This record gives sequence, structure tokens and C-alpha cells, in this order.
Amino acid sequence: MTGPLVDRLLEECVHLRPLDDPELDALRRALLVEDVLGVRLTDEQIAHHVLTDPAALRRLSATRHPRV
Amino acid sequence: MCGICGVVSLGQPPELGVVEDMIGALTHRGPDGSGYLRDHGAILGHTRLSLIDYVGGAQPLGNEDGTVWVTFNGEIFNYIELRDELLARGHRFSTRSDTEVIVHAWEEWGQDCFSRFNGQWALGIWDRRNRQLILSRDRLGVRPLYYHLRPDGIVFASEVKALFADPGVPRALDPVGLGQVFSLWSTVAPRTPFEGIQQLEPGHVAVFDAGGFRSEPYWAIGFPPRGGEPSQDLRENSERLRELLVRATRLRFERSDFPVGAYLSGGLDSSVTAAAIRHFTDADLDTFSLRFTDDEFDEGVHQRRMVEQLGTNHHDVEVSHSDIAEVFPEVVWHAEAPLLRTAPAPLFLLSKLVRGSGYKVVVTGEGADEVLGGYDIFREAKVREFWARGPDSGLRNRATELLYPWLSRNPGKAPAFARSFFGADFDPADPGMSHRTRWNSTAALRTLLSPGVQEAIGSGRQADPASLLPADSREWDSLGRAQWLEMTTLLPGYILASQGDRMLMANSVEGRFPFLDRDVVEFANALPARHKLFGLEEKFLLRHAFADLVPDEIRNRAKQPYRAPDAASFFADGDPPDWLSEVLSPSALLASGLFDARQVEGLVAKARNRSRAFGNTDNMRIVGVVSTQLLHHQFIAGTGPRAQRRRPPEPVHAIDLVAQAQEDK
Repeated sequence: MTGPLVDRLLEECVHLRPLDDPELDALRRALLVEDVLGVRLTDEQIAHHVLTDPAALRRLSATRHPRV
Repeated sequence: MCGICGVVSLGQPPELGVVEDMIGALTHRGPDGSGYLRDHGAILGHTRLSLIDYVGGAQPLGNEDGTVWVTFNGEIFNYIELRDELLARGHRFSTRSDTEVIVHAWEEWGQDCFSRFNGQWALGIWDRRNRQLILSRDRLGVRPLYYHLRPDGIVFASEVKALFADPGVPRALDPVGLGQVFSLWSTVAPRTPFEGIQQLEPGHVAVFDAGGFRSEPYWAIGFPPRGGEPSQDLRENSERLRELLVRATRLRFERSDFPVGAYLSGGLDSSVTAAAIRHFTDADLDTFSLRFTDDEFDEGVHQRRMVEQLGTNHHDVEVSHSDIAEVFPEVVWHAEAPLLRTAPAPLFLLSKLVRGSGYKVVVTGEGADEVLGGYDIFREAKVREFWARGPDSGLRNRATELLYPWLSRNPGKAPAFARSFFGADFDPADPGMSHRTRWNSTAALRTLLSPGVQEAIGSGRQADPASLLPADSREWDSLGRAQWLEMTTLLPGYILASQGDRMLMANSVEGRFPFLDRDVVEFANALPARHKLFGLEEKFLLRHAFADLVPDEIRNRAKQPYRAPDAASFFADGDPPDWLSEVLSPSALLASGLFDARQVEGLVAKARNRSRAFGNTDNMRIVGVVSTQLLHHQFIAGTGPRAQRRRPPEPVHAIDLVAQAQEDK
């Protein structure tokens, strides 16, 4: 994972359609983050405050999983 | 747009009368005239729908010295640029048609010419220098091209019905082809639903000569390895997509001697192409839409919104259940394949409206879902992958609610749905994972087939499409693999054929598809997957690129798959039509031997009582049986009203090199 990709992803996330349910919003961000950055999130990490924080996303690089 | 056909024989000279019958069978593809070239051992035939160079574009058309001839269906949109290049290389042109570019390009570059073409085509070249027939088809299969090989020759045509005009071509359904339809929704080239009849694969060129028949790709669908995409920048990619799509749309709108209209479905894709025409050309625009009397399928509100936005001259046709039932036999006649949905029928009525309004070309949004990531099947695959990365998670099951918002309103049903969604057929290591559920659930329809047909399917070798993925696809994003499967199966086999070319050409209308432009496709395939499917937001880059031209309520609409009433079309409004009772009668079922009569009887009884409540599977079952029986009735038994011979349309452009040679003697 690279910092610039995290930054791009977060910038692009401003274009996500609004979603009322915060848990579903976190799930779709988690799906996107895992897919793009190649990481696997724990249930605790599937949270809005983690998935919108550049520093937290960079730290997730340690948990990268192999692609299927 | 036109119809093409021909015969090449290494033995007995081909008969002109047979080719004339073949041309006659293709009249609907080209009612503006016809032509043939007769040489020793070869005849090319053509029916013409003239769009470019009305005076000079008659076919077959040859080069300067008459050594290379072509019969051509389609458009080479970059023909002006290629013509300039060929002129600079010393070629002399006698017309301004795109057809003539083909013969000179063949002379100049041989097989490499096809990779230079940006267009939609099926063609046959007769090269007298080598006594070779060359067949070629566009990259993604917009235009059809069928052939039948004999020990000493080949016969080819745009449609199977023209091949059947040759009495030497056998008439039989292919059980393995039926098996493909009843699992993949369509056959996969080179297979067709007919035994002994193949179709040239999209993106391929074939040669037939004394050395036999051989076919090879001149282009292949490909994606970069994950992370190896040329640009990760949203703005840069968005601007480039817009530039390429506008150019592709203008090429298709402006390169015609006749006015070009546009389809407007109410969805994003056709809104983008229509908006591109209105904003980037000076022309007025006529738009055409389908309406449904059944509110469940109607998108009139969204169509009107775009019409108001663009200020087009709008036309629409309202389609009822009985309209679909009435035209369905004719639809199957043109589709030449079993159908699992009635969706082609309204499109047949739409092209009829276009032709009746004085138009013979339309630009449509076809291909956007495949090229830019619009289908639910892509989103479902991403959710399954997400779940598979943490199957014990207490949260991930809820991701199904992102796909199907109704689950949020029915929390009691959600867990069972999730178990089913993530359970059956799901293996994250399967390269065909994205499509496996669809294929397996459709294959359940095979139980309707008679034991004999099922046995023949079982004993026929049928490759799993996923096993044909290129070796380097392991490095692609999973979306790329899903797109590859969609672009090599359903797109050419059903979307561009049964819903595309066939329903348009049935009424002598040419469709043009900017999203399938060579440069658009190459660019889109090289995009990072997230710029197509952003999380679960489909066609993300397209929405972004045209944000200023398409209103938010259209841009942000959830994807609505195009659908039409299925079983309800035949059974919901009173007694089913007479033709339906005829093709589903015990005697017709016995004659075809294709289906288990008892099961069909039960299905029909159920449809009579509750067709409006039919689910997905029952709808596909009934439409599959009806269409396959019609196919047998019209093509194999040959008893349908449309099986009669027709003369080639006038005027006839005849070039008889055999007669000339005799006169020279």
C-alpha cells in the first residue's frame, strides 16, 4: 500500500452517494478499502472513523492479505 | 449496414441461383439494392442498406485491377483517415465509400489491416491472386457472420436463414448449443444453436483456400495487472474518457449520408450518448424510446426528463403484453436463437418505430455496462469476495443489503438470504466465480429438456468459459475477469445479437455503439478497476465524466436492468395466442423431441393461472420452451410463414467474371 493511493482513495470517496445507515456506510467503505488497498479489516476496523482517517489507513498496510 | 453471403468451392462451381436465394433471405438487412460477384469457384453476395456514398458504394466492390473483392456489412468509422493514408501510399480510389478502403487496406497490409479498423463489421474478401476467401468480424461481435464448412467448400452469410437457402446445408438443432443457451443464456462462438453451422469468433480473421479453413485472433480483450494501470488519477481518467466518448459518438453520428437518431432509455448510458450529440454537434436530434403499459417496466418519467434537458424531437412506442405476444414468432425468426427473455420483442417494435419515422441509423448506449462496469453481477462478485475475506465476521453478512436495499426493510429475511447468497456455488478461488451462480441457476432449466437432449448435452464436450480465460488473467483485478467473461459470452451472444443487430436489422435499421469504439474499449480496459466499479457504485467514471451534461436524478439512479414482461405477455391478458397453442401442442413437442412434454404441460397450466406471479426461473422456463419450439417450427421443420423464397432486392449490381471470361474467349 502506498500513501498516495490512500490519499487518492479518500479524495475519491467524497463522490460516494449518501447513505443513511452508518453501519452500511462503513461496510461499503470497508469493501472499497479492502479491494483497492489489498488489506483485510477486522470488524473493529470496519468503522467510519477508521475508514476516513488517512493515518489509520496507512497503518493497515501491515495486515495486507494475498489477493484471491 | 447490409447483409453478406457467399460460396467458395474447390470442386463443382457454385450455383448463382443458390446465392440469389441467400441474398433474398437477407433482404431485411439491405432493402436498398443487392449485388453479386461471380468468379470461377466463388460467388459473393450482398444486400445493401446504403448509408455512405449512395451512388458509389454498391457491392461487391473491387480494387483497381479487380484482383480483390469484398462483400461488407458494417462501418469502418475511421475510413477517412485510412483512405488518406492509403492514398499517400499510392492507392487509387474510385468511390468515397468506406467499403473501398477495405480492399486497398487488404492489399497494403494483409491481415494486419483489421487491427487498424475502428468499426463494426463482418466481411468476406475474395482475393483472386491467391484464390483465398478471407472472413473477418469486428472486435466484440457487433456484426454477425455464420458459415458452414463442406469437404470441398464453404458457405457463409450474415444470418443462418441465408445459409438454409442453400439446400446442401443441413437443418438440425445442436443439443450442445442448446445446452449452452440453457446455462449461459447464449451459445459461445464458434458454436451456434444449429448443428454444422459455426460463427466466426469476434476479433478473428479466417482464411479458406485449398489448404482448408483456419481462424486466428487479430485482437483480444485484455486488462493490465492490478496496480499496473497507466493512470490512477480520477480527473485525468475522467477527462480522457469524456474526450474519447464524445469523439466516438460524433464519429457515429456524423459519418453517415443519412440522418442519425438516438435511443433514449431513461438510463445513464443512452443519456450520455444523446447528450454528447446535443452538446458537441450542431445537428437537431430525434430520440426514440420504449414505453410499457405495464408500470413495472416503464421508464417514461426518466425519458421525459432527458428529453426536456436535451430538447430533442422525441418519439416513443408503448408496448403492451399482447404486442409482445403478437410479434414474438417474428422476433425468434430474426434472433435465430432460443431466448430466455422476451426483452428482444419490444426492441423489435422500437426499431420499427425508428424506420417508420424515416430513420435508418441510431446511436445507442449498448456496451457501457460491460466496458465500464455497470452490471449487478459485478457488484455481487465484489460482495462475495468481501465476505470471503472474513466469513466469521459479524458484520460482513450485511453487505448483501448494499446490493438489495429491500433486505434492510425485511431484517427477518436477511440472514437466510445471506446464507443462500454466500453459500451455493461460491468458491473464491474459482476464476468464473462472478458468473457461476448465474450459470448454475440457468442450467436448472435443462431439466425441462427431453432425456435424449440432456444425454447429448452431457456427452458433448463443452468448455467452461472460465477455463478459457487468458493465463495472465490471474494478475488482473477480479472485475477484469468478470468483464472478460461477460464480453466473451453474453455481450456477443445475446446483447449484441438477439437484442442488438437482429432486432435492429429486422426493420432495416443500423445500430451504432459509441461505448464499443475501439479506443474507448482499450482505454476503459486499462483503467483501475475502482474507476469502473467504485466499491459498489457502478460506472463510477462515466457518472463523473458527464456530471455537467446528465441531470443528477438520471446519473444517480440505481441501475435498472432492461426488462420486459415475460410469461405475462403470453398468458396475462386472456387466452394465449393461437400460435402459442400450436407450438406447445403435444404433437409439436413430439415432433421436435426437445422437451419433456409432461413438464411443459404442467408449466403451461401454471402460467395460465398465475403468470403475473411467476418468478425469474419460471419466466425463463416458459420463454425458453416457447422460443425453442418456435425455432424448431420455423427453421428445422421449415413450416413457418417466413420460410418462403425471396428475390434479391432491386437494383441488382451484377459482376460476372465467368461470363466476361467466356466472352473474351
